[in-house]
Amino acid sequence: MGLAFLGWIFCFWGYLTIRLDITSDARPYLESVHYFSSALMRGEYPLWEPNRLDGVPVEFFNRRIGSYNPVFLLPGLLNKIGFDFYVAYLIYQSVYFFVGMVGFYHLAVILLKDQTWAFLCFLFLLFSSWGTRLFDSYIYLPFIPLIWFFVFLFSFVRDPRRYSIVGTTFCAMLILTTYIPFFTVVIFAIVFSGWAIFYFRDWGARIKEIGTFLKTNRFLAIFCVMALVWSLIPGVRLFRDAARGDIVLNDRQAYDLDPETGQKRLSGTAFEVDFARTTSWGIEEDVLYSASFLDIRHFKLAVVYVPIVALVIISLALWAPMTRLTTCLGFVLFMGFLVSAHRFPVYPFLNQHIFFFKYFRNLHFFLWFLLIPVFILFAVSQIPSLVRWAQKSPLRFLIYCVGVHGMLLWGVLYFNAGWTTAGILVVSCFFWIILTRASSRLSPVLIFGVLLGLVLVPSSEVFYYLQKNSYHLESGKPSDWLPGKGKGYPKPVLNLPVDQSEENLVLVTSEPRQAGPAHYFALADYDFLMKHVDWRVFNFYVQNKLYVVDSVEHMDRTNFDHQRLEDVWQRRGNVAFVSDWQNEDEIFSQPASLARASVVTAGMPEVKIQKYGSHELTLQTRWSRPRFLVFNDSWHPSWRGFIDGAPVRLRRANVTFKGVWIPAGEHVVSFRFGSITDHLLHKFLMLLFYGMFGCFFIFYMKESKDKTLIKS
Amino acid sequence: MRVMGRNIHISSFLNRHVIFYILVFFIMAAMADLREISKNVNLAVLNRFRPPGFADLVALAKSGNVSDSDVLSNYQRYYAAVRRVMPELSEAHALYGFCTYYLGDRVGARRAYQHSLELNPHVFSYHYNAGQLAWQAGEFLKAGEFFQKALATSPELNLQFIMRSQRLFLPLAALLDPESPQRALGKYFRDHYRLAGARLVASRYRAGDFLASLQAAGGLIKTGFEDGELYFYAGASAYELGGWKQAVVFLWKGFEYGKRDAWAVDLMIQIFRDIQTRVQSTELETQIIILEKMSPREATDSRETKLMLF
Repeated sequence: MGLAFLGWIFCFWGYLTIRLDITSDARPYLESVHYFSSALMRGEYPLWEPNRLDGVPVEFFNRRIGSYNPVFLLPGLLNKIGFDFYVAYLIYQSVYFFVGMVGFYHLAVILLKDQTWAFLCFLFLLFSSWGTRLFDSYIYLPFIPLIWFFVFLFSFVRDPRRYSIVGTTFCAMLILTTYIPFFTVVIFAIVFSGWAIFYFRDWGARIKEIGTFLKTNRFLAIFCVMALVWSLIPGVRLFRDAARGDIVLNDRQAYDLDPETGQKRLSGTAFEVDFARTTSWGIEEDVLYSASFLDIRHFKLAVVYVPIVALVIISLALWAPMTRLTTCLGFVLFMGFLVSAHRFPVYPFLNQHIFFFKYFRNLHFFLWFLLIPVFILFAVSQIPSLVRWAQKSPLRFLIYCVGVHGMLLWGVLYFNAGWTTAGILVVSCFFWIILTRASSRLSPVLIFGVLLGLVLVPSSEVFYYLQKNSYHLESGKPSDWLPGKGKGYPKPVLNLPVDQSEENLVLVTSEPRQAGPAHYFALADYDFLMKHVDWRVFNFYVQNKLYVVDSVEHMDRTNFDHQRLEDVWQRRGNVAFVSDWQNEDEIFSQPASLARASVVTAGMPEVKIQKYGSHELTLQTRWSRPRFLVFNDSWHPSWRGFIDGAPVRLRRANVTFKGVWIPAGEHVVSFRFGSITDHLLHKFLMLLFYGMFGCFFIFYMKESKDKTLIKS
Repeated sequence: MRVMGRNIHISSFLNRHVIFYILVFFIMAAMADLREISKNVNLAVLNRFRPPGFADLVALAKSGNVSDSDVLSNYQRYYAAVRRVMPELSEAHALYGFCTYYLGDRVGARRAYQHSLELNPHVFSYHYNAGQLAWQAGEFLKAGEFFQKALATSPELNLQFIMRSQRLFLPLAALLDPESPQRALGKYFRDHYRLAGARLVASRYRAGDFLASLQAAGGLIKTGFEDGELYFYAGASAYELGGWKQAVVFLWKGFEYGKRDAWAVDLMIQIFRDIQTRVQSTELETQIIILEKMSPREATDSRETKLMLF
């Protein structure tokens, strides 16, 4: 396995030695990991990211791997001991990926009951295009707990043990804190139905055994269920945010037409995806798109690839009898395809009748999460039957084997699928003939070596072209553009201007008005402003984090007037807009005595910053009259305001930011994100996840020792 | 059941992987129209391959120089995909051929244009480009035939064809002049019909059919064609046929109209010298001096290697 992993490193040498650039979703993921793991290293569990889009909650982006995944500590730790952050990130990715591949090996061992063929499964997946997704995506992150989930689940069903139930629970918890819980539900349902149909004779015995285990370990079982329920909390809260309309997901959310303007606007909750959007690209398209890269000289990221030997096996075993396992895997493969292929009637039906099917945007993820691994298992599971079939009539198999290889060779040459692939087909032909005739006489080391060669050699040519067609880094490395360069993400700093310079005042008059960029994830009001306020004015306004004004007016999305807002922002009008009108607004608002809003500067005698961090801003104020403080950091229901320690109503100011009235005199004003319960909850969940992880190891060590004793 | 003297169990026969695949195929076919699905999937994939813009391709057609072969490869892949999905579109084959040519595969390009012509023999640019490729392969007789067929096409129909080719040609044509593609196209075709005339005369000359070359040139000049290459080859043909006076006039006109690549200028000098010695004239001396002093000369005539985009 180590040798195979070295081979994998060799295949992606350009990426791993930072000569090639990561692209697409991998870039924002790097940023997100940088922020989160650096905060963890500082002993802080971040819930809010103030520097992204003027403040956003962290939970959504962390769902790529799950906030409480212990592996999240790895990049931070490596960075702490001196690795450049990007190098640390690459090591963390590679290690996590390899952990997943090892999991797949174990899964194959459980299913195939043969280490040689399990090793072949491991090789197929390791050298499939799953390995390329580290550099352009993050979909491999939830895939890894998914693999291990099935490893532990199968192992539990086969032989219930404490480590396997804890392992299953831990992986399920990880999955529940990622963005794919519903994908997992579907995958689980398909696999379960496959097992239920094809292994129904085993039901009784299995259920009895599991029942006995649960009875004797009822506390552990109850704890596992509770742990699962607890791990649902962050997801449920995120869904609550979406249901309340606090967040938007521009790239996936459903649209409708605004009856007044006739323009497209976001509709439904953030997680509901437009049917047309979901069905614009699915498994069918992904497969066909990948088929366009049969000429491997054009190979690139996100193209589906499985080493050709898998195809050889499928072709050779065409006439071999199916086993129960193969049939079951074939069924899972077929059902997985039907459920996720949007051009067949099953998916539209499910979309209409099962609520969470509306949450799937990328149906082709099923290809990656389910179909590729199951296809590999399906192909390799045919080998024992193939060998038996071949041994019955060696001459017929010899002719058939040569014919199949000849056909494939022709195809490879015709499509320019690589010279090494062509060469490996010749070797493969000999290998299968020898294997079927003398499998018992071949040394396992030789078989492992040949299998590694058969998979590694053509894959390395494919990945050579992939790297050739990838973006080359001209200078520096991706971590150079991260805050803190190669080091950890620096503690957030509130950059206040030194003086209230007037030269910055710029009137934007030129047409056309410029809308801000649409972001994948944003707070709903912030997104609204980006779309409706001139981007130049917006940028000019938010360059100062704190403003103080003397009067407020009512304006929110219902009576939004972009001209009024832009005008005030451009000339720094002494007014802020609040989304709801309160008595205090009537009492405190004054006719603007100053022509302009005061920008809070570093040397302002009336304001002194006491504390600033991801979750808090505390300042001391001293004014002779009540004034309204605007904090240009996004409003979110979890933000709370305090004056002199007493909670005050935090206002939504200027549509998307925060504001509060500060009475005259000396006061301490605080903005805090999340209640103590919120912060404790996350720390508790973190402890729970780490605890489960630790528990798993303890049980595993103990029970594997017991197993060894029983064996001896 | 006994088949050919052997016992065959139906259950063991049905329990084969191949039967499983067939069964899966039939279930899928029963559930949905696979042909329709295949067509729609292909279209979705095509959209993914569609390059973000076509400005690079139009720039290449204008300059004849490949600035970035990777970008061109992307175009080629896109048109290859269009060709695969909609093989009935002659434009897809032609544009694939165009990219293939500039990526250095003349044989592949010729095959693609041949295919385009089989699908639609009324398009000027297919004949023109096929003629250019035949010329480059040294098949001057064939090239002449293509150019003649190109000239026989209708400019109006070609214009209509491009305007109707909404997916492939029109986006390219729109880049010629976004404000008035039709006006730009009019000029584009006028220039290329003139060019095709010149190439016809040139092909016949190179094929050794000097009389046909001169006759074609005469016909074209009468219809108002004025082009350096046309005059040059007409002059060279006249010279071969012994019409020295006419040769001098045409050659010099060719020079004046811009036929100034090294090979042509050398040939002109050679012909003028020869005519000078034959007719014992000193009048040509000035022209020979001008030609000899002319520098820098273009290494080759770029029109011989350029293809039309649409």
